[in-house]
Amino acid sequence: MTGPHSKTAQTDAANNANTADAAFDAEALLAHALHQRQWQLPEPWREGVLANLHRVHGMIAELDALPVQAGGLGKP
Amino acid sequence: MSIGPPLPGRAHEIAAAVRAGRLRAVVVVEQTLAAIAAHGARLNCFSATLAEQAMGQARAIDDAVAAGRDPGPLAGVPIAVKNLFDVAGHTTIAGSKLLRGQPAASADATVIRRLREAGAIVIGALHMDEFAYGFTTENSHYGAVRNPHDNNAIAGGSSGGSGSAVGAGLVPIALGSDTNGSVRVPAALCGTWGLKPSFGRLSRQGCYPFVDSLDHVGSLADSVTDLALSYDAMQGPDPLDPACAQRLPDPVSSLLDQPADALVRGLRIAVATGYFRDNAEDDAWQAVVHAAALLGATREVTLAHAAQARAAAFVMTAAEGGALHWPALQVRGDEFEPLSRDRLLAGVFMPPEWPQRAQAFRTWFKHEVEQVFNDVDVILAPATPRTATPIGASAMTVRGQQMMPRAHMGMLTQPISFIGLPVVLAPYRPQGAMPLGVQIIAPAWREDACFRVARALELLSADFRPHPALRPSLGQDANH
Repeated sequence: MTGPHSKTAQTDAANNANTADAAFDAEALLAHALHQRQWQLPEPWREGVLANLHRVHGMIAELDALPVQAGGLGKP
Repeated sequence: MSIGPPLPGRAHEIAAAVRAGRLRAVVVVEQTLAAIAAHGARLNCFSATLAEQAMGQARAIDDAVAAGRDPGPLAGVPIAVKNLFDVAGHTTIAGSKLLRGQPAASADATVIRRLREAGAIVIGALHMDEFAYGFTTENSHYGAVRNPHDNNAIAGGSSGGSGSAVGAGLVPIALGSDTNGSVRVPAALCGTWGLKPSFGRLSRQGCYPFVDSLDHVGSLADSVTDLALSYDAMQGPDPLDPACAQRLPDPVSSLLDQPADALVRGLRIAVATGYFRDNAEDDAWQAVVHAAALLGATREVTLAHAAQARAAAFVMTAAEGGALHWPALQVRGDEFEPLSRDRLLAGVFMPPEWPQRAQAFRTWFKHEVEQVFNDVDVILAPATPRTATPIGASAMTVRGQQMMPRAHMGMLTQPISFIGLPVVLAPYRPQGAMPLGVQIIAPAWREDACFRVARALELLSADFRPHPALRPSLGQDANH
């Protein structure tokens, strides 16, 4: 099975939730989130939402180097 | 430009004259409405005026004075409110198209009720960024609010109408809300005083929500005395807002009638460097340097991880704002401001772990900053990275970096509201320049320290006094 609801896509989405590296896949995260909510995103909005997912991901990635108790991942 | 009769002055001057029977409140309201009619459309700051209601309230105040009763410390003072506050009989639209068809509010927001009880008169509602999400008040439904000092420039946001109306001199006091900087940014860019109190100090009941963890109510004014009067009138616990602290009012007005040196005696004042220095253009930084020099503050502090605090505030805002609006986004998404809609949807779709990490960091950062306040009482920091950008500009340059004004004009205010610290925003405007601002930051519940420093700056330099665009002479004299 391939596509946004495949095991691979869901694993990618889960990885996105827990890591903040260059491999971030906004498309996979969005597909997973839409599937969870059983909702269809109007196509003209897609580009803007993906751009904002990248921006929010960039923000959360700033916490990565912090200790876990400070909301980080404890990664150097 | 002629506006007919002269505009009323500062709030405390109006109130003193009305209470003494030297000025009738109905005259104040008539003059204010005339000025709004003459200039409001050009600035696009008012979304509605409430003439009939205001005249009724003014007549009641005049009757009270005639009968020998005291109408209160804000007697006859015209105020305007961001259009996310409930005003009885008026629909609360929160800058949106979506809420336009909703019924009128059945009661005033708690803070508005308290201001009316103190004698203030609600003259109108003010434009804002849709649902308070933005720092520029370029609202695609209602148009851009214009800066009173350069009509081609933004007023800042999201309380842009509030900044424009006070900065112009149309009203001496306006209400705003501040989730990430939405009082402080427009106050700085429009050259007014601004207050974002401690989180939980002022009731948010009757205020359309945005981010429950971060929403604050605040005010903008054209003098420190007026800012203090509005703050004192709004204080007090409110069981209708669960986040509102069960604290008795801590009035500050009575503290301010002192010379500058007495006001700041014993206060350890420091300048925030690091993130705040690195993300401010030279003129924005000079505002802080000038304030520090006037106050004799030579100490510097660094709020470590301020960049991460800003980032975490950004994440929490998207997540909580998205969750709030998700029901409407699903069925009426096309009626949202497009740029806000995309940000809110990203907040809906982000993994739940992200806002949880942001919340964990918030607790940690708050503790870290509390340690800094073991050694200092007040911290000064720039309010915005630069002066107001042109309306329609999609990018601005800060220290050589390109960024979007709508999202980044508040990058220096976000780390502070993130942990709920009180801030008074001091307007800084040297002759011929566009306004900027200095954040005067204190530990939680120490608004008194912010006000002491604010009043000292107002006394010490004309550069730290508003020069309302329609009443420039007001900035010349601080001894009122």
